[in-house]
Amino acid sequence: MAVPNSRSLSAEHSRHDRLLVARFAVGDVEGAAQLHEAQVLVKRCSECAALVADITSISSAVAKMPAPARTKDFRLTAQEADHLRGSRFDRFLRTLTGSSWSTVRPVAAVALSVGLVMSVVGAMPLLGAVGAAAPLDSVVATQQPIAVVGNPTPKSTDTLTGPDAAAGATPPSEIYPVGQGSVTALGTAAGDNLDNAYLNQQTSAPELQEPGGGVPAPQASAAADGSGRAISTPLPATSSSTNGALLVAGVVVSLLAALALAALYVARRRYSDPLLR
Amino acid sequence: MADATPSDSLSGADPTTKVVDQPGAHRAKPNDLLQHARDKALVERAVGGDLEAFNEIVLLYQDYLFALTVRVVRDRESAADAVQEAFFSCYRNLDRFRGDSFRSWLTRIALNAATDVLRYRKRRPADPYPEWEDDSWQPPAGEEASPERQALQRQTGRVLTAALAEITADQRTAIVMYDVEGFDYQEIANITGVSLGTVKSRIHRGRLALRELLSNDDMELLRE
Repeated sequence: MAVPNSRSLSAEHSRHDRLLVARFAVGDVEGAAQLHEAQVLVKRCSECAALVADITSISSAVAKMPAPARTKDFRLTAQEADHLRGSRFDRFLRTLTGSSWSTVRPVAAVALSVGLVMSVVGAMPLLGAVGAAAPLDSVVATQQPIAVVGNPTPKSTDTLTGPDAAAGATPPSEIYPVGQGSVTALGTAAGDNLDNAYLNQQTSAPELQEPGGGVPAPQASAAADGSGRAISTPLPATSSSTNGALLVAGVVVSLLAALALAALYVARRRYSDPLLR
Repeated sequence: MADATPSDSLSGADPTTKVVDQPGAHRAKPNDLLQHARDKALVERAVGGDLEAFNEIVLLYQDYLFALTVRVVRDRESAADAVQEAFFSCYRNLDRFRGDSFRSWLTRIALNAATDVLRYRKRRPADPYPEWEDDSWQPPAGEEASPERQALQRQTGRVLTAALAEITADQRTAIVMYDVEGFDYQEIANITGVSLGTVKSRIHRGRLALRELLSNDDMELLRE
């Protein structure tokens, strides 16, 4: 490093690295190059040398500053201590804000997600049945002119729940096969497009006909349940119980996780201490 | 040679020879382990519900905390409030103390309380530093000190207090912790939650700022 003579250095003091000199004053320079640079500055620049002296004087004087006298005694009274400790519930919630509980929050969030998934999976048959019921309704609506139910009435969507829920996947023709006697014929325009085979088997059954041409009433189907059932593939009972257990477990896990998250939220809002940041 | 003090490399009447005994610089702390053990024992008793044990902790640290806090907030009343809050918080969360140094943990709490006071003042700047020009709160000099000496100490304290009030709170805190309270760089970094380099920078820049604020007459006063 080219070092100008002391005269020019002093003239250029304002351009010197004063922070380096300040670090040098307390022996805090790192690296041989910087140390050498600081030494040169202090040796050749009188103002840098004076700055070193001033920095050390300031540091010493600050260290010798007398300690301000305390104005009060900060010891706690028993009442203050009781108030600060709070109830057991307060202490528990305060504990939840501690770092040792920091892992509970993500775990509870994951448990909530898993519980919800379990609930949904467990409820799938139910949802499937309901989902299937909607198109079934529309099918019935469009096919009402020829919606022929075995004997004596069509099976309503209500009867598709439970063990027979899988019937929702079956085509309407299986659910509503051509019966051996009772036939619902609603005589709409849609019915004109239907197969003649169906039409040929139509017989008048006004007692089963819905007034507005809609879906037969549940009580009517319930009454007909028995000989008129045409649901093709009912699920095994074991699958149903497994789904039920999954649903219950999912709901329980979700509730517990939600409870934990709520407790953590309340604890953080009410009991986290800003001075421990 | 990288970390050599100036006195290693400069000779003669070099002014930097004084820095060997620089306050706060690489202090040896032989009593640290003993102090940690004592604090831990007291904390354990206090966590178990022993109020006397906690009050022993208060007795051990209240002077230190008040002195530190009043230098940061520059107002005895606010400092007292901050220290009180710090001890309250400490008592409430004593079971959450982890680590070796209870003193550092407590210092961190007190500095956070002091920072809150400063933030509050910043939002409401009316009468921000009611006592900074008043040296009546400075402790009296020792009995043995002559009147001249006492007057000199008061004057020095007033000059430094005024200058410290002008630098940033971060710089002031770092300087007080290093020069006055004897923490090393790493401890200050841990307590204030900043990097080691930031701590060093705050201290060195703070000293430079103090030098800018002090007149030559003030510097003469400090040297006496």
